[in-house]
Amino acid sequence: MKPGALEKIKKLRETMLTPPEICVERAYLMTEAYKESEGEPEVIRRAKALDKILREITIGIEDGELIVGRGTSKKRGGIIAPEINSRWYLEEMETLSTRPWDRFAPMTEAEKETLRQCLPYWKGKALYDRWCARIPKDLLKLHGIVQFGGAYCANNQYYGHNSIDYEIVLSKGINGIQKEIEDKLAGLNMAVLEDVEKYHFLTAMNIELEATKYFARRYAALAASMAERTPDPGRKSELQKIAAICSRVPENPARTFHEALQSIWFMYLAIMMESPGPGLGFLRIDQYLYPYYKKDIEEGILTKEDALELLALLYIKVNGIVIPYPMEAAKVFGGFTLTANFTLGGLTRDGRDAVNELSYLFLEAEKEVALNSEDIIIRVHKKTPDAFVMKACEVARALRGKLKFVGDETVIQQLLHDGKPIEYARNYAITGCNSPTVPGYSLDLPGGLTNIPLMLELALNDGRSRVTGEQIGPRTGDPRNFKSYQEVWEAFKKQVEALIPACLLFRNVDKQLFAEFLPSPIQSALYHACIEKGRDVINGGTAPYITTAISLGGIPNVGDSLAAIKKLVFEEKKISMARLIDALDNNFEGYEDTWRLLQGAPKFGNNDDYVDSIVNEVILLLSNEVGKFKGFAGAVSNVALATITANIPMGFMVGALPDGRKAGEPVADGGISPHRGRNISGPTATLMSVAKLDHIRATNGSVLNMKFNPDTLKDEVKMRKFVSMIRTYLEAGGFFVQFNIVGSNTLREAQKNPEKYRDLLVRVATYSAYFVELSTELQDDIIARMEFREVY
Amino acid sequence: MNNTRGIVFHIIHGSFVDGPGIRTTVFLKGCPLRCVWCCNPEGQLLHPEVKLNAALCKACGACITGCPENAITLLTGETGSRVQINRSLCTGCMQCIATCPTGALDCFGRYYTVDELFEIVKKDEQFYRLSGGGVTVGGGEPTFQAAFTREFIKKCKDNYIHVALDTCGYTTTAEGLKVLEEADLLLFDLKGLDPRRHVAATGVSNERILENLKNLNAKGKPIIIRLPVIPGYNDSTANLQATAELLAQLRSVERVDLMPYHEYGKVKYEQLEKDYALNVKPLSRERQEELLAFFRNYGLPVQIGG
Repeated sequence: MKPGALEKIKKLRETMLTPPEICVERAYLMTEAYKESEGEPEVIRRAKALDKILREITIGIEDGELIVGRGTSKKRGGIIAPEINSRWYLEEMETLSTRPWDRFAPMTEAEKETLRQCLPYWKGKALYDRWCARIPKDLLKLHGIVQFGGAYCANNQYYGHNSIDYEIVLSKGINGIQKEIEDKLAGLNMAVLEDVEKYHFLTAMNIELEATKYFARRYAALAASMAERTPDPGRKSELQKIAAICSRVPENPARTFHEALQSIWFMYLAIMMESPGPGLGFLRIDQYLYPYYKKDIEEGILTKEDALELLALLYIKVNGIVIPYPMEAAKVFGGFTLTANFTLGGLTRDGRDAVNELSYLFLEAEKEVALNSEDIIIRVHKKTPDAFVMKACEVARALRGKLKFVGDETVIQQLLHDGKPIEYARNYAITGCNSPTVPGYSLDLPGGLTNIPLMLELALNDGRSRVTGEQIGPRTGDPRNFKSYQEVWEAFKKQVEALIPACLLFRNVDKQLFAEFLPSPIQSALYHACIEKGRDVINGGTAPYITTAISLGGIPNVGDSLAAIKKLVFEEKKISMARLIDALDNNFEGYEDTWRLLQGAPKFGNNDDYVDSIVNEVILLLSNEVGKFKGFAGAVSNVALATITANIPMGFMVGALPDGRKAGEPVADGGISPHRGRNISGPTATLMSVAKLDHIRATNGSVLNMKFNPDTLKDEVKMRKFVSMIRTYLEAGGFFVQFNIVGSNTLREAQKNPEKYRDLLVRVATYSAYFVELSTELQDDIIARMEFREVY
Repeated sequence: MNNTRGIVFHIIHGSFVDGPGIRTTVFLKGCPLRCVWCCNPEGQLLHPEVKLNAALCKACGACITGCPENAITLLTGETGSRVQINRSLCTGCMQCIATCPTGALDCFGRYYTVDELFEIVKKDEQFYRLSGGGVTVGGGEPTFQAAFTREFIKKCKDNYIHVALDTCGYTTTAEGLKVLEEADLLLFDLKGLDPRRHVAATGVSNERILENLKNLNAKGKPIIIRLPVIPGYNDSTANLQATAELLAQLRSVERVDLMPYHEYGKVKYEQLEKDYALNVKPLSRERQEELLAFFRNYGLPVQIGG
């Protein structure tokens, strides 16, 4: 990068390392718009609200920016979305700046007053209120015990995990999309009720697109006026260029690389301001931007350095938006990340290696920026050049981890298994933490972090929680009387069968309510079928390619526990079932000998087929059970193996387990990472334990976290080994792996001196976060995870 | 079926340091040397040994009553109580381990047949392919269980798996020499060229080691030399010079790996209740650079670590 540009990037990056501010403008404008539109169709109210926001929210251009547009009124701002969940803001307003993690800068009294004025309007109207009212009372209490984050509305999140196709706006411009809407509207028959619904939906989409054009023009005007005022001739010409670009896109098709970037950024913003949710990202950006890059380079109007600077600026912009979570949700999604995905590499639609010059530039830019919301995913196929994987590993090493590696062979098989055509499957991107999806064609929403160890506990306690004593699941009999492993398995199966419907209910009602009250016409405009069908993306607009996932947490603990029971109770008869249950009831106190025996049983993560095959059986059981039910809008229900950071609250809800884990301790992190400290056989053993599982049946993805000491990657020879290790794992059936490349000494030091380590990025669960912003518990959890040290 | 048994104290799946590519490293018990700096003291004896993790010991005494040889007693010190094992009475029956409720007692050393061990290392086979890796047998000293190691090497090679040996080079038997010849690659330790000092530091003279090294070199066996650098023991200019001059003449030597002294082994001495006799400081970075330059001057490819 050019020296001046590097300095500028550094400066802009710094602004993203300060505590974010709360933006109250969106909340105010949203509330005013809804007050004005009562009685109108919900989708129209949505559109009018976004229209008001985009026309009236404070805008700003920062010094040095070349891609412009803020998602809030602040440089780094938290979006308030009272229409989803309003009650918590009032309750937690005062503690937002003082709570243990995910802290915001203090609000002014005037800002607090604005919130106090507008939030009460949403009582009973906010989606979370509606969700609570719609879930049967006796099942509602299971949310937060059996499942975490099953309702996005409870977490204060929209469904950001959608996978839009930016090529639509790049090639047609908003004007082109509006032309299609007009044509479609002209063909509607108002005698058909369904067409009336389509009419309102398409009209809403048109309003939102028009508002987005207006928003861009506001920026064009601002840039032009700033250009007039600035004394700096260099900046003047930059601002003039920005003004020209903003008056051209996204209204019209993009012609240059710079226009293309600005165009997608405005679309991203409009979607974020309408439906703020983590997971919304940029999909296969090295693919759809490449033609613009190539053309500009060939025509000599862009240099590699220019492109690098623009990409770095885009990464920084992504970090300017933050979604505040209620404390309960922050436990599960801690760390302020938007997981805005940038999926790089992999195959083209027709099965060729897709890596290009831009793929490398995205990696290079990330090396300079390395903030936490831009989420880099490296697709690795057999055809992917070693040079690209090597470069990615070098960046991962420099960033102490962060990058995610996914295996093309596995993902493509998963998507084919789910019924997607091969050219769609090859064109997948990863959204959110770990979910494969096809830009522009399919909706594959993850969520619902489900406490599987709890279900095993219920099987081993006649349906009662060992923590609260409450009867949660069906009575499956006194476990002391179980005479065979099969009886244990059957009891577990019954608990699973009884509780999975509630888990699906939480998810489906959530989606249903979003479709009914908070649909997303602006997102729908970037899907291929939504205009044609006249249906919102959440409401089945992508049919038949819709899946709804449940994320299974703690599967390794369940596998380890079942293996211990099978081996020690029923095969070797070293522990009686009665003694085991007594030991669990007493959290192993006074049963240290039993605990020790259990500790010695086979553990997942050591490439031991005895336990690994049980882990796989548990996955298949759940995949089959969840797969029995069709979800909202005809969605196929499937599973992911992921916990985000819910492995900690899940652990609070589960007593002692037969794997030797004590009451209240976190369950396994990531999703399919071995329980901390148990994978003691070396990295290839861990990788193979995971690779051998049937990932095709966990279509929504899985997360394996591994910790590496930087010493093991210190030179090129070792890096090559690292690369070949990743490739072997992915080619052997692995789906996903990400690394924490950092010594635990560094982390302990960071706990003591957080101010010195503000930029210390670590992978927490499935995304990266600033270490020092995490709770002490989460920090301890990361430190305690297995570290592969080579001392022999 | 191959039922030859060997005793192993550790297996690492996915080592980046014990030879080319990604390796599975098997550590065999038993060694003819007693280097004062030994970082794997649990690899010295040819039989299983009790490992005592004192930090976990709650001094409950369960193992004391559980020991048929009365080899365990209670030790009360300033920082609290823990058990201690009279190693001369211990027969390695390992009954104490079963009685220990906290996991403070464990075992160094497990017997495997050649087939059992092969099944375990074979699990990493896919990782060898892309990385050009394989199995490394170290220890202890792999020629110390010569019959077992030979059979194991043969089993690996029959399955087209590359085998490296991490050896001290000290073997006097015909079978031991065969082991060295049959491996694909030797990671050959050279601890010093002065025979007297060698005896003092390792318990054996280096004559046989040097002879073996020269013979293997003559036979064209690929060799990577590993030089432990222990301040005050083998880092004198005289020794380094003699070493470099010798190595510069050996055509089979592909590389020289300097292994700077480290203290990671200390904890294992505590676990074996042995005294750690050495009191030297790890090498500074400057000194490491100096040594690298020194060997480069002799035209030797050299690096720090393996």
